[in-house]
Amino acid sequence: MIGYQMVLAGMFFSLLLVISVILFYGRYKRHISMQELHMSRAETDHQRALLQAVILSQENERRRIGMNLHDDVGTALSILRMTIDGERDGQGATTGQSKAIIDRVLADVRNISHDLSPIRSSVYTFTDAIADRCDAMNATGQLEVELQFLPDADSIVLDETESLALYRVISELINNTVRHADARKIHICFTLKTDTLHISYHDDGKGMGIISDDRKGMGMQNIESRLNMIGAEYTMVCESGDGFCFLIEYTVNANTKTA
Amino acid sequence: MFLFFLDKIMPWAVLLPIVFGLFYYPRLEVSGKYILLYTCIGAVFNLLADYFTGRYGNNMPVFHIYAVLEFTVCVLFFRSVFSGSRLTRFFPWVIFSFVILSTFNIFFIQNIFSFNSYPRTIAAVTIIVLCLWHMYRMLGRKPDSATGNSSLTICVGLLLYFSGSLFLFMFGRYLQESRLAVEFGWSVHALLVLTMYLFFTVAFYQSRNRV
Repeated sequence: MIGYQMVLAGMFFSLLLVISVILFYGRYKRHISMQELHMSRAETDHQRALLQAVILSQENERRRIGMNLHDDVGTALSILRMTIDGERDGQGATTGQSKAIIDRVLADVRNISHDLSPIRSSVYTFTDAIADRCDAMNATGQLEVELQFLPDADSIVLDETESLALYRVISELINNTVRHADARKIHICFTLKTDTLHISYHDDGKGMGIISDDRKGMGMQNIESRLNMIGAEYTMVCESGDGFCFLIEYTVNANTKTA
Repeated sequence: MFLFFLDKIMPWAVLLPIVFGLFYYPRLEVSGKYILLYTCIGAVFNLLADYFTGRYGNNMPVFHIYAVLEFTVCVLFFRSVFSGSRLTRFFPWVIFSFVILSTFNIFFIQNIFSFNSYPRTIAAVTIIVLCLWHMYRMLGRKPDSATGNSSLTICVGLLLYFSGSLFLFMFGRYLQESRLAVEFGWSVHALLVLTMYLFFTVAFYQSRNRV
């Protein structure tokens, strides 16, 4: 038999229950909002770090070019001037020597210009630039770089932004291998599957442990920001002692074509 | 003193959300306008109930009609809140079924001069479920910066009122054993209505920045 006490108790408990639900809901929603806020802050910090890395690397690049101009071209031109002065005074140096110095200056200027703009025309494409970079590394004799284009990948033509970004990324990866990996061989493979360009980069060096966002060096941040800029996905296999592996997946856009 | 306070203050408390609702009317969302309508219906039926009590000594026919209108407006509020969801297409059928059920109840189960416990219980349970559903939907969403959480605030008000009153609607007739229990039960109900109106007022105020 239901008495009025039970009705009142029922009212009280149902009210208590719903108030608890509402309080729990409010607390949980606030918790979610806080989590979203933290994630958004972390994302902002990450973006700021990437931007900083880009600016710093630009500054370093300018400093390096400045030093190249000063040390190579500047010095060579000074020597040339002294040679010409000596020639005029009849103290030795020949026209042949002057010509050799001018050739060296031309070569230096060409190298600097190539560094600044590796992909110069529609004839000299991204794949050519990569091949040249690898040849230059092979020529040093310190490292063997094996470049492989699986069918169709060698005929891909990317626009200037994409080409430059991917070229700089591969260049940075090679630099990292040279500086840190103690590797003897690098293998770079390009594969085009339907509309996705897969690039796999592998060296036989000492590899690296798992690195968190805050432990990434400027080079890695540069790589990340360049890949983000063109919307490419990447995976880094970080296993210590088993070489270094970096995989890039880039969905080629409608403007991109195969030659 | 407390019961006296509720008895005298409660009928006037309805003016608070009505004033805020009318003041911010141009800024209200459609759902907010339904709640303003619900509040106005509450005010009018409160006056009608007083009139029927004074004139005929029984105001139950007023509450039979009020239950139908209350349920209809609340479901329309949720239809507006859930706009875009496929389930809203069933809402007119829910309203239609409730009208049929209430009419059937008047003629065959609980006559028009007795308390309509069945329709009110069904209405309360339905509205509680809709409130919880809306809260669940809103869990992962960011509040609209212009309107804040006005629909959520309204939901909390409705949830508090209907869940607190559910037992009263279901077993209200058992309170008749004690006059004090009747007074206490309906005073708690009045307090819940007051709380709901306060939440509506806050919700209308939250809409002030909406363009």
